[in-house]
Amino acid sequence: MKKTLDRKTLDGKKLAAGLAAATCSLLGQPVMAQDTDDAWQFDSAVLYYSEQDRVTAVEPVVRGKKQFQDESELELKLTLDTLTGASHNGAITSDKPQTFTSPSGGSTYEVTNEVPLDDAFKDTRVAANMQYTRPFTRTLRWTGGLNFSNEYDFTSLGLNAGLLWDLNNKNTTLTFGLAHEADTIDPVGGAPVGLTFQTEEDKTDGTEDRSINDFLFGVTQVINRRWIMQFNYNLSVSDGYHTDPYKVVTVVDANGDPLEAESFGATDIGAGDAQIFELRPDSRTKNAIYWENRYHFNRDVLAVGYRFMSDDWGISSHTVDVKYRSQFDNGWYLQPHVRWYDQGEADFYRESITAAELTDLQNSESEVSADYRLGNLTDTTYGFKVGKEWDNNQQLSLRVESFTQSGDSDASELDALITQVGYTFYW
Amino acid sequence: MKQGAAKQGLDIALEQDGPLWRGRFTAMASPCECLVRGVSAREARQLAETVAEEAWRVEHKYSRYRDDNLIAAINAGDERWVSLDDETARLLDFADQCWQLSEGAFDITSGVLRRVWRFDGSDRVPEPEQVAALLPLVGWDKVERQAGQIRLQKGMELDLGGIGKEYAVDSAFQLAGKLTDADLLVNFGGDLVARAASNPWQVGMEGTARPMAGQLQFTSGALATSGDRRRYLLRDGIRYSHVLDPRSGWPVTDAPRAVTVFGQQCTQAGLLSTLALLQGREAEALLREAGVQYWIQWGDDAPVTG
Repeated sequence: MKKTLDRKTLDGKKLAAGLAAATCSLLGQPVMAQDTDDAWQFDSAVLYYSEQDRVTAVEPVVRGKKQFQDESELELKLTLDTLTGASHNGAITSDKPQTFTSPSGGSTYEVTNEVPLDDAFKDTRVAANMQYTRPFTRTLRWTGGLNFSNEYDFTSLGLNAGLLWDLNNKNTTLTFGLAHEADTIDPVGGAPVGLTFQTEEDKTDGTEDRSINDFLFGVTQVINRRWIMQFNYNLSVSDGYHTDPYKVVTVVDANGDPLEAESFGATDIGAGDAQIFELRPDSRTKNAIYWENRYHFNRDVLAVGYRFMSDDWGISSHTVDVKYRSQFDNGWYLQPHVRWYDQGEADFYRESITAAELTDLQNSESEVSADYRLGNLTDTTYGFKVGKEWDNNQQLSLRVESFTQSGDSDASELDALITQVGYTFYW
Repeated sequence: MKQGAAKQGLDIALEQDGPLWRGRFTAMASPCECLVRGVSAREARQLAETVAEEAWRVEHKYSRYRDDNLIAAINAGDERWVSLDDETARLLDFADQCWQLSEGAFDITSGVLRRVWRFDGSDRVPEPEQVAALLPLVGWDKVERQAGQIRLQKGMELDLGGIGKEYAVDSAFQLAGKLTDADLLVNFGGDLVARAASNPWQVGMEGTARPMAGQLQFTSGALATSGDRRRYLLRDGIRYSHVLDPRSGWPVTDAPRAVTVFGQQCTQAGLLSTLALLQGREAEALLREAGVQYWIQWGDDAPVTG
């Protein structure tokens, strides 16, 4: 009497995913997560960082993320960094000539009236991260990860483990984390002996080591439907080699002019060659707190973050980071960004030292560094990101930021431009 | 009768119960309501008006019972191209995707079958020849579309009744949701969507035999029900459901009485419940695979839930 049809030919899972996507495009909404359940989310980006007259960095990053049926999540990240250009070698800027040896000790160069830069700076860094998070019980998740990073003179291996505990109807999440990192530093031409003259080429054979242990405690709290707050405390203890093998400190006379190595009984390689290798403590303990607030307006999002860090080298720093995301129709957004950073100098920071100070340092085997990154420093970053999200969750973005830094020395005066193109897709 | 419905439709009754405001009106032949918590009377009225106006707008624009709207123009097109606006194009795209995903089980051209099928509780099952004669007029694949235009073959009809109400719920909810941060629930005759900051909404489900088949608490999501305890035919002990399979022109004979699906949007939940119903005995298997929360009422017993 009637045609009989095969029933149950439909795949319910496919149907549900397809319907979710169709509904979202009907209602003009971004597609919800369920239709991307089976896909890998890829975030790719290329960062271009360019300091005026100094370092240029090109950094492509690819991150893949996938959520599995059992609600576990795997994240893989690969970063490639190419740095070229010149980096400050630690010496003062002087109107008198200064002579330096290259890191390998094979050649010398002379600088007058400019920030002394080491031209040999060239590096390629490869970093890989893997992180896996999995539910343990309904409210408890564990996470574990591995990190690997390698560049010409530096290798780092790290692992981490953590627990995430949801409380209070998932409105509160507590995070406990431990991480260990083992670094191997293999400086070009060997690691110099601190406080000795660069001309003496007194360098050790072999590699130096450093290990870092981190403890993290975090609270994420949903204040209301629009406001989420995060608080993190981080303790980091590192032991081993912290000295920068390529940085020197200028020994100056009463006028502030560079002295000659030969007046200290060291080899003469040119004018103004009284430069000693820096020396840093063999351990560092850092305490940091981080506080972030995220507020969702009807469409826009405001994020305000503050970080305070203090360490036993005498440095303390404040960072304020503000982002505002303006969401427009058709998936466009504009995100202005301002970041302000300020730090105080380390106890052993000197822009340069006198002969008497050098004798004191050598007698007491104390530390000294003229690296401007350990001095008083203020930097400001401002810029914006503009992006477009499509219904299928594809996203394209462009970030342009200007970075300005100032501090105690000429070397710390720096302007840089940061541009980044990012693309997110599902596969 | 049409005029009467329209006149009645323009009334919105606003009631207050503590922090809860309830705006009631009638649209799409169903009792409709807009519930909102913790706002002023002025805001509650504005929200109810927004929701009601959207319901009436969608009804007016897509009702197949009117002769002054776009659907009527398309159905009267008789092989001529008819221009579409963006919203209608999106709805037809959606219908197209549903037709593909359901392998033809959901088809907005199947309305013509109602010329021979009248689900009035009687035993008047049409003759197979009558059904067969209409089948050439059914089939979304026979409809031609090009950018912004549609053309039907002579005698064919579009009927957006299968998605119109759920679409109106989602659309009205979106519009109202932009006006307020307050807890909100939009309910058009049992198809509903809601959100709440923390205090969940409690929704009761009508049963086929008992007044209450189940109760559900949720802070965000949508419910849609397919099936109707009043619309069926009964002959020789066979209960013919009012849901027709457009591929055969015949109802599904062993379908559940009602299928309710909980989803993110009302449109999505509505389609899933309709397609589950069309699967007959296999309704539950489909919903289980789809990974949604559901309630199936097979007879007069308590629903099967999952």
